[in-house]
Amino acid sequence: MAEIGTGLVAIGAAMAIVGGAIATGWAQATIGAAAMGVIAERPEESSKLLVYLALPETIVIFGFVIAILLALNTGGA
Amino acid sequence: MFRPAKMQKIRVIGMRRDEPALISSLHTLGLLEIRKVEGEEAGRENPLHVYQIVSEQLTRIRGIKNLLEKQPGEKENHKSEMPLEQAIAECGKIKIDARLRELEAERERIEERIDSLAEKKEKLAKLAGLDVDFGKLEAETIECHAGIVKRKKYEILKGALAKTKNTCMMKGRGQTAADFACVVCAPKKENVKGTLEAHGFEFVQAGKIAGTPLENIAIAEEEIHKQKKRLAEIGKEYEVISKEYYGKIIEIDKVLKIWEARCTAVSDFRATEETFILHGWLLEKNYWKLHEELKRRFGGRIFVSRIKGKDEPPTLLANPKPFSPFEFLVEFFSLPRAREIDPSMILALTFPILYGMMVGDVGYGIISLLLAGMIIAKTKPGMLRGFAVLWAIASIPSMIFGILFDEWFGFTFKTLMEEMGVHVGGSFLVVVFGSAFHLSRLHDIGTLLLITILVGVLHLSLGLFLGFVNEWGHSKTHAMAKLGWIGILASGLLLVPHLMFSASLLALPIDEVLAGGIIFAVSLLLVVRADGIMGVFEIPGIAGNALSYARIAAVGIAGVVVAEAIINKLLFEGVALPNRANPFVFFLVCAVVLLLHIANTFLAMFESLVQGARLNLVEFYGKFFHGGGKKFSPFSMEEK
Repeated sequence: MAEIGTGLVAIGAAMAIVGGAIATGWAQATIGAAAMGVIAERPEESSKLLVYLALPETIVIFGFVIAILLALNTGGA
Repeated sequence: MFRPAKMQKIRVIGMRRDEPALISSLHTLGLLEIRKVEGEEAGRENPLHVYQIVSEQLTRIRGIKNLLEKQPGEKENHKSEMPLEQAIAECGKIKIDARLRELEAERERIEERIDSLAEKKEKLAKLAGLDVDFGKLEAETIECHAGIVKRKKYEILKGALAKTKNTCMMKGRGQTAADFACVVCAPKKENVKGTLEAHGFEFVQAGKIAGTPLENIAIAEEEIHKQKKRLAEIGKEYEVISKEYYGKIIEIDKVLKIWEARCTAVSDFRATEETFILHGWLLEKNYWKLHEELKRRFGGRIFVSRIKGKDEPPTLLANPKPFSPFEFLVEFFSLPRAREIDPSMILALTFPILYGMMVGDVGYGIISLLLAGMIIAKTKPGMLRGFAVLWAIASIPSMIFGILFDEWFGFTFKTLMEEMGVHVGGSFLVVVFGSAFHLSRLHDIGTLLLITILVGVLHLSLGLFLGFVNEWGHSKTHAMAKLGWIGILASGLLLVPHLMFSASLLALPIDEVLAGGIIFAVSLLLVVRADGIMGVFEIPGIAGNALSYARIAAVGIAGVVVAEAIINKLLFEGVALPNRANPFVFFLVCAVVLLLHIANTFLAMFESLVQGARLNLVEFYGKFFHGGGKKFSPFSMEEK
């Protein structure tokens, strides 16, 4: 029974990462497309747009933190 | 020191007859950024009277310059002492416009002719196998079609044409073994074109041909040769003209460009019939220098005075030279306004630390230093070089953190030495470079995570403190709110780690929870006083900011996994070492391992740069920085 629990926690940790990664990718795709449009019109704004492009990465970082916490609480890391 | 250079707005008043001399002096001195004069009781000034002739000659000289060839050893940006009058007189002596126009037109004509002949030659080559004199095929009632037909379709086409009266088809060798070159002649009224198209006949429209295709190819080749010879003669004439005039042309261009800037700069002045007024910004420390210089050059005829007001000054970052690479990072995002904090010196401390924590490998620090050095040596000043300088600086903390994490190309120091055949045992070196401070990023993830978030809290607190300093002059309430946010972060630091890692709420240490609670309550009051109830909703935001620093651990761990688990364990220990007896395989795998480490370093450099910059520019800047400053751009002869 404990092994099943550990497995479920591992699945939960994986889901936290996967969900965060998909959400980040989705957000970056949208921002990236919009940013390319802006750069075509105003190339001088590209440096600021790079920062906006990096913003959604926080989502996957949260997923990473959750995954590590789950793994730590089950002795997996 | 932590602020941009102090600026002073000034007003200059003088006689209009002194305008050209004044504008020349200001241009040479390069101290003043001229601004449009607003709100004065006078009309707009027109460009200097020489503007029209300067503008006309500049357009003409640029046109000539574009046609001439750059001469070896001729510098485009050399300084010229030539006075304007002399430059205009020299312009009058240059009378090559008409000849250059003729040469250019002839060159274009010849190039078009060569293209058209080459196209014709290419088409004729397809029919080269036909030994038919096309000139003899011309008749009023007959039309002939030349082209290519596939060998396998030839007989079918022949059969189809046989059904049409008085049709004749001649074939010859095609360009490939699968084709025939053909010419089909038929009475115009029969209209065989449709039959040909239906059988995949590829028409070749080579224009009017007299003689056989081979004869025509020879004629085209001869004509191309003749035209190319003329083209070479034109090139030589260009070369002779360029040698004689290019140096003079760029010198005149330089002088006229300077005078064009001077002529138009006065459009920002205001003027009456006799006098003019100009406004501008200069470094406060240069005020007396300009004052004295104008007094020396114009006596008492030019009057300079300070303007007091709340206009937004331009920004000039003025940090000591060692910090200038970080000005690039500040400018890359946004310049601070002239009266806010310049974060360059703070970034010089925080950026390398965050970057170093992410790379965190002595070997990778060395590689990134070498790569950055190569980029600096090979590139001109610009964005890439700016980043390379940051990489070079940040490679030092990467090595220091590499020692703290005991990571040497993904190995521990002891393992690396042993793999290289050096037995260090429990020596002093191992104590210093290894086990003494060893924090394994791959195995102590929980500790690493806590450290990175702690670094985040400290970094954010520094940003909030700078925000407090920035706001103090504007609004004491908002400045205190910044301190309130520091308190909320501190209380979070007391509470959150226990909540994250304790098995149950009952195990929480009551003293720390109580202290955290009190700090939190007082801090929240300060925040709500400034931002209202909306301040409460910002708490998850600042918690998110702190957690965002976990990316330092995430990027670091990703790098270690690739270096240690994939490159070293799988390739080096798994493939190279078992094949030590076979030197070829051993060295080949070692070379692959080294290349992969370089590639992994490159990834770590890029990712750490982006993430390090992001933590500074988003999380940190957000706590104090407004930005949107306009760069100080003095009216100067120096190329920008």
